[in-house]
Amino acid sequence: MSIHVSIQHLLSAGGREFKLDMHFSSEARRIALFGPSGAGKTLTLKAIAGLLRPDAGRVTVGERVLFDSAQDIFLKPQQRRLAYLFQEYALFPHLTVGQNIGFGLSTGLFNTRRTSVLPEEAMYWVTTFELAPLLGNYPHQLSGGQRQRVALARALATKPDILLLDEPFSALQASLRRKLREELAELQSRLTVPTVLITHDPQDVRLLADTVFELEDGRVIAQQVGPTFSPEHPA
Amino acid sequence: MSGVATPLLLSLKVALWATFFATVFGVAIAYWLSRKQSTWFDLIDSILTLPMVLPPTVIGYYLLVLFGRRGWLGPFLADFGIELVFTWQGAVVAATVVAFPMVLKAARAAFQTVDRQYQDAGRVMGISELGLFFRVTLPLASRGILAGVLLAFARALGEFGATLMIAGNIPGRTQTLSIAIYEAVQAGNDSMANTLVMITSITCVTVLWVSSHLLQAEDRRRKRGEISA
Repeated sequence: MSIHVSIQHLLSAGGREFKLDMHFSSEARRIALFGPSGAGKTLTLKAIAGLLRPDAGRVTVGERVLFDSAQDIFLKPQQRRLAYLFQEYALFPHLTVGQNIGFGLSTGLFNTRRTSVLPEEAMYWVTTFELAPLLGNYPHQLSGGQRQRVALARALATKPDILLLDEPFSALQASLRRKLREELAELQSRLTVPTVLITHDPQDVRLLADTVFELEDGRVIAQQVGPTFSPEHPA
Repeated sequence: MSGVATPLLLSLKVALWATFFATVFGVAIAYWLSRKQSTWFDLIDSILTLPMVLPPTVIGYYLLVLFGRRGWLGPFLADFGIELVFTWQGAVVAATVVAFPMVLKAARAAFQTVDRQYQDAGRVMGISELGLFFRVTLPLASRGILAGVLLAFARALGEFGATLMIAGNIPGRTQTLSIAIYEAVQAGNDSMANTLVMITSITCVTVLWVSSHLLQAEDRRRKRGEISA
């Protein structure tokens, strides 16, 4: 599946201006956007997800046009069939692990019961990530690694076209970061869903991306092959 | 005791209805206001909070201007058979207006503390905005809102000035606890006043105690999940 991003967006806050002028496109299954904080990584990811409407440009995933300012197309995040893994996972604190994983699969106005059985597509990920014993727990009772797996299961249960990963390890200490990075790489090798990862850690890129775009000040400054990546401007 | 039960039951009925309306409107408007930041919204918020600071007599006067027989809306409502002056429904309106800002303030603050990321997470998963409200935003804000609802109930139960002006003081029909107390004191009926004051105090303490008990039960339920981990 190819992904094509070409967006412009102007942000101004407190008298300062930030100009996002992001252009990249790739056929790779594992894409990384690498750059220091403030390079526009998260903005770009949000624009792909539809959580931010850029001033102008075009975003396509495969055949689907998600955003095209020239044709006045802007799909809502609800219509984009993407999954977004937030930096600190954004697991719903008031819901159990089971309710979190099944969240996107029930479209009613109210949450499912704590004891209700998960649909089969969710159970697949529960089994894969060995989460069955945790289904009745609340997110604050989980370890960092368990949280990541719950968040991944929740994201993948909705059968997304593409999985967006927002600095998945930035909040973790070094040893856990290494372990989870390997876990994620192993998962990627079994998944067919393409991933777009944003990070400021070159090690993430080497292990988790086939191709990498290096960002600075809201623009792409270089493209490299993921596994041998060495940043031009180390963060 | 029958002289006590009537105003007590009427007060509870009025306060419960007022709390219900104040909660529905307060939560809905607070949610709407919390969706965007704007100085206009702050102005709306200020106007809606006015009943908290205005003298109750002023509120009562406004209500009469609006709902009185020759008021702006009075004749219109009368066509539908709705009569608010000198009725217990009028007392509900008065209590709702003064209790409403309690819910609005608490709910607006509670909604603003809900991390946007949770709503974004739900959006990406395909959940409609209405679904997000009931499944994510409202549950995460519920504690803060509940605090406002309790205050609103207490405020509605104690409502006096505006109620007196629009609903009057008709024993058995619009005479609520606080008005009955006033009348008992005016008439020098100290034993009656004593009884009513005791009942009001006990009712309020009970309500607050029960609600804090409910909150703690909720806490325990969550903690039990932790132990079984």
